[in-house]
Amino acid sequence: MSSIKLYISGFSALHRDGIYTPDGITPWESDQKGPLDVRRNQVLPSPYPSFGKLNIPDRLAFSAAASALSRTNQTVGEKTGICMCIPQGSLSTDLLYMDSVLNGFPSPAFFSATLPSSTIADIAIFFKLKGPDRIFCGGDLPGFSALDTAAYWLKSRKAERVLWVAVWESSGDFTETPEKKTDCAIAILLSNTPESGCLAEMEFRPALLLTSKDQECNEQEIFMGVINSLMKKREEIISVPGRGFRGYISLRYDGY
Amino acid sequence: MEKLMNELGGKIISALKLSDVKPEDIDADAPLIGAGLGLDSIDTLELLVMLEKDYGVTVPDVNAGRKVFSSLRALAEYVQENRQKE
Repeated sequence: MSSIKLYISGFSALHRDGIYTPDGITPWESDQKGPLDVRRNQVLPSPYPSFGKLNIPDRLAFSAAASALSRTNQTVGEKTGICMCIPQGSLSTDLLYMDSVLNGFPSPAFFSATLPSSTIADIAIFFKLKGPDRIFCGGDLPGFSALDTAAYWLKSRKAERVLWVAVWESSGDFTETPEKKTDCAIAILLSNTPESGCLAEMEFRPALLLTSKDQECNEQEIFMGVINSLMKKREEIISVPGRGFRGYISLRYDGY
Repeated sequence: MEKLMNELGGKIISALKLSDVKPEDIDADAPLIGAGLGLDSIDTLELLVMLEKDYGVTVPDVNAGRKVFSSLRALAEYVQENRQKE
């Protein structure tokens, strides 16, 4: 399968070390343990009274998206899509909702967030993004599936830009290998033409989607590798570790 | 009434996790829904649950709800008249 070229015009990541942006890494303050303690004013200059009521995946995704979009010079809106991956879906909120039911007072706020795509809605409504949207939960490689879909939308002109967002939630210990994961969210703004303000060119092979079921693939590690490369403007080919993979992501910075 | 309004203001902030809002920011006579605090229909449902759980107060229908949530003062008056729990 042929490779696909995409152009990156904004990015941000919330990781245990701090908030990654094109401006550098802002470490967490002493009273913050990591991404789950992110404050609105660390990622978004304008007020957002509802920030505190976002559930865990919503808060992580919204914060990464806000941090990325507030630092790009691209105009996003009418034809900007959102493609998101949350491997655990809304499981942590499902459990909170179940607790509220067992306590005799089912929480409407938790209930509304038991739909995983509510995370997309929070971002789309706040930033007025009106392009297509899709969320990937579970599966072998939801992050790459989301990236593949973003590339298809851009190639087919269904969207002019796509905000790719990935959230990994480890606090609920839902993953099979929790020791290898941490709460993390990444947002990358993609387009299919190198516009002014473009930061890098990304090329990837969707053949990555052909992984076998027994293959362990830490997508968080791979996409944090992409973020680290973007931070250092280091030309790099990032391959997926393990058997049976033929895919890669390469990053170039010539002229950007 | 002032004490109850302060208490309800704190409970609204706590129930809806309005991290950017302090109790003194809530205008006692401003609408709670829409403008001002920017609360939506889900927030309203969450407040109804809080009223029932903490005060034993129910709001029978939409028309009553419009009046109850027209301001913090109106909410406090309704709670004071109808509360089942102290």
